[in-house]
Formats: sequence, C-alpha cells, structure tokens
Amino acid sequence: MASSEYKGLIFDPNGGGAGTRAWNVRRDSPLAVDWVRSLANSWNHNADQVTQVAVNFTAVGVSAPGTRPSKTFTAANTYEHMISFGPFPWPIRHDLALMRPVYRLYGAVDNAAYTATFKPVFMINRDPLDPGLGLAYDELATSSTTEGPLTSGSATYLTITENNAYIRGIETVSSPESAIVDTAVAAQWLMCRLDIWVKATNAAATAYLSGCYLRAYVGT
Amino acid sequence: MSTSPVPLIPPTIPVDNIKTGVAPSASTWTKMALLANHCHGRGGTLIPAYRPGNTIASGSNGTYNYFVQGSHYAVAQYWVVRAHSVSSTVDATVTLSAPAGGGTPRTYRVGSDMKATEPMFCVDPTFLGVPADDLSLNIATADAGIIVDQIACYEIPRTVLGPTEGVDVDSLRGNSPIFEQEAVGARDSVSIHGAAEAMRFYRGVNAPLFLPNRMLWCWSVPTADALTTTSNVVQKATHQPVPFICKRTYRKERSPSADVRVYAYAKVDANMGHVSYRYGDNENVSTAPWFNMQVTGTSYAWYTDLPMTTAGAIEDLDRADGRYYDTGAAVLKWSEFEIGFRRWTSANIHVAAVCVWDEGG
Repeated sequence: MASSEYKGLIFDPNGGGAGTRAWNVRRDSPLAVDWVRSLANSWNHNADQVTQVAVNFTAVGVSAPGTRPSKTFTAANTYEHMISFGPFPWPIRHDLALMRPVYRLYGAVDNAAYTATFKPVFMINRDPLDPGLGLAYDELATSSTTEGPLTSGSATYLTITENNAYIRGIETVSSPESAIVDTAVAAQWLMCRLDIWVKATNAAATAYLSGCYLRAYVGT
Repeated sequence: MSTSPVPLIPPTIPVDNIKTGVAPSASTWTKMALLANHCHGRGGTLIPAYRPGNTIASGSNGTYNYFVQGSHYAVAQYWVVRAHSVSSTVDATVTLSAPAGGGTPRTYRVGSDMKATEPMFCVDPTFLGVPADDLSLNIATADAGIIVDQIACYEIPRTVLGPTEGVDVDSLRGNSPIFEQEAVGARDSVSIHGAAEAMRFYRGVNAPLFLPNRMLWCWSVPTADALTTTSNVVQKATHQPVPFICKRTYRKERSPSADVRVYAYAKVDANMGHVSYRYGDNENVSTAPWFNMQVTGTSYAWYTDLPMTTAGAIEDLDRADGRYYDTGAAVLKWSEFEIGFRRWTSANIHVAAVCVWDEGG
C-alpha cells in the first residue's frame, strides 16, 4: 500500500502487515460508530484489567507447615509487627481512585484459650511503620489452633478511605525521559505495602501466619 | 522526541461522547492511543511477593529460579527483597545479583529486627524472551546468616514506547488527516490502524503473547533447600489452599474460562516422579482429583503439562470482590488450588520452584 496516503475516513484494513484483521472497517464505507465505541469500551476494560496479584504467600513444606511467620509477644493486648510485604506497585482505577485491595489471610494461635487478632494494614510505602496510619486495615480474630482462613464477618477487601494519598506520590516523583526508570524512582512510584500486625489476649501466646493473599481489583 | 508516551495515570476514554451521526473527536482518539500505550507500557507483576523463609548461612549464597511470562515491551525488571539477620548482635551484608551471576550486584546491610529492616532493590537488565523465560536471582550473605522474608519482581514501567510498540499519538491529533502508513515491522502504530492494531497485540490475537497473562502464585528456594519425598502418595506441599481469581478478558463474555498452568522446577534421582496439582471453584479443593505431571530428568529443569481449566475462578465484575458466586448455596466462594508431589518409583523427586500462571481463556 502507498504510505501516508490520505483517504479520509476510509482505509483498507488488509493493507500491509501480516495476518488477517477482522475489523468492521472497509474501503468506501464510513467508520462505524459502534465499532469505535466497542474499541473504546475494550480499552477501558483492558485498563481496569491491569490488575495484578501483589502478595500471595503460602507456607510450603512436607509433613509440617514449613517455615512461616510466627509471633511471640512482649505484652498482652498490644499490637506488635509481624511481617511486611512490599513495596509493590498498585494500579489506579479509571476514576482515579486506587484499586480495591482484595485479601485473604490464613493463620492460627497455639492455644485455644488465647485469642490472636491479626491486623493487615495497607499503606503507601513512604508512610511510617505504624498500625494506625495506613490507608485501610481490618482486624481478624481467631482462637483456632488449626491453621486456616481468618475471617472478619464477610469482609474480603480493605476499604480505602483516603484516595488522595496516592496523589502525593505522583507529585513528588519525576518522570525521566529515559526508557528505564531508576530504581529509586520506581520505589516511590505509587508503591504500596502490606503490614501484618498481631496481638493476643495473653503474652504467652504464639500466633502463626500461614498464608496471605492480596490482589488489586477494579471493584464495582 | 517519541510520540508514543506512556502516561502514568491511565486516561478514561469518554465512550458517551461517541455518538451516531457525530464524528469521533480527535481527543477521543488521542485518549485511546494514550490508554493503549499505558496498558502496553506500564509493566506488570512478574513475581507476587512471597516468603521463601529459607536460611542462607554466612558466607554462602542461594539462587532462586522462576518461570515468567513478561510483557515484551518491558526492557528491565526490578527485584524487591526483604531479609533479616539471624544474629541479634551482628548485621548481615547481603548482595543481590540479577540475573544470578550477572547484572550489577547491589549490597545492603540488614539487622535482625524485621520491623526496622528496609527492603532491598536490584535491577535486572535482562530483556525477557517471548513468550516465556527463566528468571533468576542470587542472594549472597556475609558476616551473618539471613532468613529471606520476601522476594518479588516487577517490570520497570516504560515512559515511552518505540515506533513498533505503541500508538503514535501525534497521528491522531485534531486537524490532521486520518491516514494509513505502510507497516513498520510486524505491526502498524499509526492513526486508527494503530489504536486497533494495539488491541490485536494486547489480546494475543495472531500474536505470540497474551500480554495480560499473570503470575497467580509462586514459590522458589535454592536447590539446596528443595522439597523432597520418599513417598509414593501425593504429599501436599502447600499447607493451606492458595486462593486465586483470574482476569476476565472480555467484560460481557458469557462463558469465560481461564487456563491456569503449573510450571515446576524439579528433578528426580532416577526414572520418574510427579508434581501434582488440583483446584476447586467452591472452596472444595480437598475433594478434587490430583493431576500428576511427570518429572523425568536427573538435572533441574522446568516442567509443565495440561492446564487447570476453570470457569468459576473468573472474576465476576458485578461482585464487590470479584469472587465466584455459588448459585446453589447462594454464597460467594473462593477458588483455590493446591500443589503436591510424589515419587513414582524408588528414586526421590526434588522440587525447588513452582510457578502458577493465569494464561487466559
């Protein structure tokens, strides 16, 4: 096909290149509006589908649970830090909000007489390590000594109440023209973190985390 | 200056502005081009954060291997590693190298307090092959041993795409003709052709790679810490079911399904062993049958076999968390899979890594 040839709103989709393009555009026919809408809807959907799994940890081993984070306590009923995952990049939704963190935790406590409460805290990486300063959190209690899923009613996702937090990250990050972003910049570029805190009703307890799943989801 | 920029924030294409009887505006086409470039260039998660939990003794090192499917527009990856010293009095010197034995090593010091230990980063300049490649990371330590608390890897986002990678935004600006141009390489990137062609490459139609393929779960340890068993009965390696939700390729797809494929880095001492896997869409994975993938080599290699084809694990975009809805029980359920392994003859099997991928429907 001739290059840079002006044909108005019509062009031959089979010109040049390899493969068959089954598009709804034909020579000497106007560009169908429904085709354009379909393409636009598809790209909007693709952008929301740029979701990804941020954390998926499962204890692995033979016969025994294998190494997994455990926590002994210095005091009763006081949250102590167990483990952090991240920083990881977090996608933005089509309406400029952060995508919803869908999560699931697995764990247990070593004594049924005690109750361990796990607190997953989702936060922007640059925030200080504090269980109360995250973007979203939940509290899941268990007295089970059998490691299994931890539930908090029917909640399976963390509700982000401060959507403007990510804007701070954008304003302070430069966007170099080079194709490869410096790791220091990448570390600040919309990076989030998941901290797991835990407390127990008795300082003699030991809490175990045997699984942690966190996924970005566009939400409804 | 490149005319295929990758915007940091994805623009929303105003679909309601596309009406019968009115020409789609140049700004609509420009947003479409920018959004296509964002989807192609923002990079993805290659390895979700997981905890290996293995110990590397002082003066030793360990190599972690992964089977990944990268976006062929990413030119480099970065690793995020967390570790802490096993000694409460001596900090460890940790050196990261990616790929293992190559790249530019980065060195850090870590103490024993996990709360105070900062994450460590390392750039891997390897250009990933298409459609899939082997990714490796080496962690070495001195002064004190370490426990590895986290490994993750992400593609470094692009800020611009090349002439055969993205959509030329300048070709869609107002007061410019809509034109066609002879293809450069295997695809067009100009004007309306470019915006539609970008979809063809993104969705994998007539292309070697389905870009939104993603890693659902992985586990990898150095081969010295590989799992092994003397049992001929499948031994569960994952002690809790692994939850997963697959992407929905087309929003209004009536019967979506996804192929979830398991890749295992394993070997046998002789003859054959199996890496096994099973899944359930209804939190019923423990009653599902195992599929047993053969491992036959006496040196470590990647193995894969038939995928788990699931319909229930596709994200339901009408649900608050995207999970599968069990209409019989009228309740939302998690889809889950489990990984196991066994020896099939008298020789042991050794498994050092397992990577599970959502490869679309």
